[in-house]
Formats: sequence, structure tokens, C-alpha cells
Amino acid sequence: MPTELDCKGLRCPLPIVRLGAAMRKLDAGAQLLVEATDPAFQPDLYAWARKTQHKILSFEGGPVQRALLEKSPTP
Amino acid sequence: MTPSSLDLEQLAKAVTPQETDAIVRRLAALEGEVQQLRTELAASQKPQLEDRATFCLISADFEKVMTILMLAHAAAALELRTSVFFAFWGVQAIKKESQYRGKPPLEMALTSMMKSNIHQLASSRFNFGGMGPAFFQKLMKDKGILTPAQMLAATEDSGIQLQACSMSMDVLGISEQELLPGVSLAGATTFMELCGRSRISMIL
Repeated sequence: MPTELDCKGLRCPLPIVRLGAAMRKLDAGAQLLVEATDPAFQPDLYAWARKTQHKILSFEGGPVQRALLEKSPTP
Repeated sequence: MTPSSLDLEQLAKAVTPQETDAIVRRLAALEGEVQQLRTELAASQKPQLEDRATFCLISADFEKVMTILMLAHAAAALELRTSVFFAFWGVQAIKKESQYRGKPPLEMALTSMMKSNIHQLASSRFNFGGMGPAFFQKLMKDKGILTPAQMLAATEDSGIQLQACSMSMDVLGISEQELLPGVSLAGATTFMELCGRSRISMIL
């Protein structure tokens, strides 16, 4: 079961700040399910994943966006 | 027998000195090549900067919008992948029109006080109620200089990516429908990640 993180109602850059902090607490391979409503969440999330190398397993758009993330082993 | 276990002295007894010399030279050359490839591999594994330029504009002043658009076009001409992030007042520069429908009164008031599009920009000095920029633009047209509006219209052809800060839009009550087509929404993380990959990043 993935760890869940509620970022609904948080505005840029808070969703990424919170998910970054949550991700740091996880072990490599662990999953995080994030829900967010920020309009910039999708591009920000993909930018964050590109930089940090963590995986986006799935992304659902809509008023409430849902992303399932997997922590990568630090290189 | 693998090359690494080659014993050059044993080999010397079986082959002529000339052949030994040739082998030794070849080995030295190969060692040099391996060393060079190792160095190149290590360099390629470091994060590389892309041929990319990233700009941020937080002002809707005529001269600042003009400057950023000129630099963005110059960067694109230098074959840099170029994007401009418009934040706070800057978002007004990439509006298509002002819309009032469905907005709460406070946002309506804000909208009425803001620019509808790039044609209405005020300069920070010599504005004279909009007469200044109108005068500048007449001068620019007479001299064959592109105006901010013309440069903005040409961004698509130059492959310049336009991004609007979604949070600024929310604060200033600007809806996505008021923006020009082709503008994408982005946040601080998007901008910073782009900066991290760019040879050049600038904010004005």
C-alpha cells in the first residue's frame, strides 16, 4: 500500500515542497500517492521527477489530480 | 590467453624485437585510448546543461516586456530552446483579452484595472497616460524595429515557449480563457527545473 499525501488546496510551490519532504522519508522502491488541486501541479510534478529521478507510475488529471510515485534509489 | 595476462618478456622470446616494439607501442596507444574514453564517460555522466535559455518576466512595463521578448528571440536565433515564464504583472503581457463573466466583484475590479493585452502596456517612464508607448511604437515602426506585440506574435514561429504562472493568475483573477492560445500553465518548480538545465537564465 502506498503512503498517502493530501496536497489538496495547497498552492505552488507547496505541493512539491510537501511531496519532496514525504519522499525523503521513504525507502527506495516505496510508493507515494499524492492528491493535489494546484493548476500547476502536473508540469511541476514532471519537472520535479525529471530532476530527482523518482518515477511517476501514474497520473490522473481533473479537478483533483492524483499521482502515484515511486522512490528511486539515490544514484 | 587474455590480453591482460600477456607477459611481454615471454612474448619477447617468441617474437622478434621489432614485433615486440610494435606490440608495446600498440598497447601504449590502446591504454591511452582507454584512459581517454574513461575520462569522456565520467564527463558524460555529470548533469549536462542543455542548449537552453529560460527567462522570467514579472513586470508588464512596456520596456521590460520588450527587452525580454528581444532577448528570447535572440536566444532562439542562437538555436537555444527558449522559454519565458510570465509571473505576477508579467501575465498581462500574454493576455488575449479581458473577460468579466463569472468573476467575483473583487476580481472584476482587478480585471478592469489591468491590461487586456500587450497592445496596452504602459512604460515605467514617459508613459503620459499611454501616449508614451504609442509614441515609442510609432518611432519603432518608422525605424523598422519590431514592437513588443509583433515580437510576441512571432514567438510561435521562433519556437519560444510561453508559460504563465498559474498562482499569479489566481491572485490577479486572470482566467486561462483570457490568455493567448499556446500559453501553458506552469509553477515555480517547472521554472526552476528549466533554469537548472539552461545555460542561460534571467529574470526581469
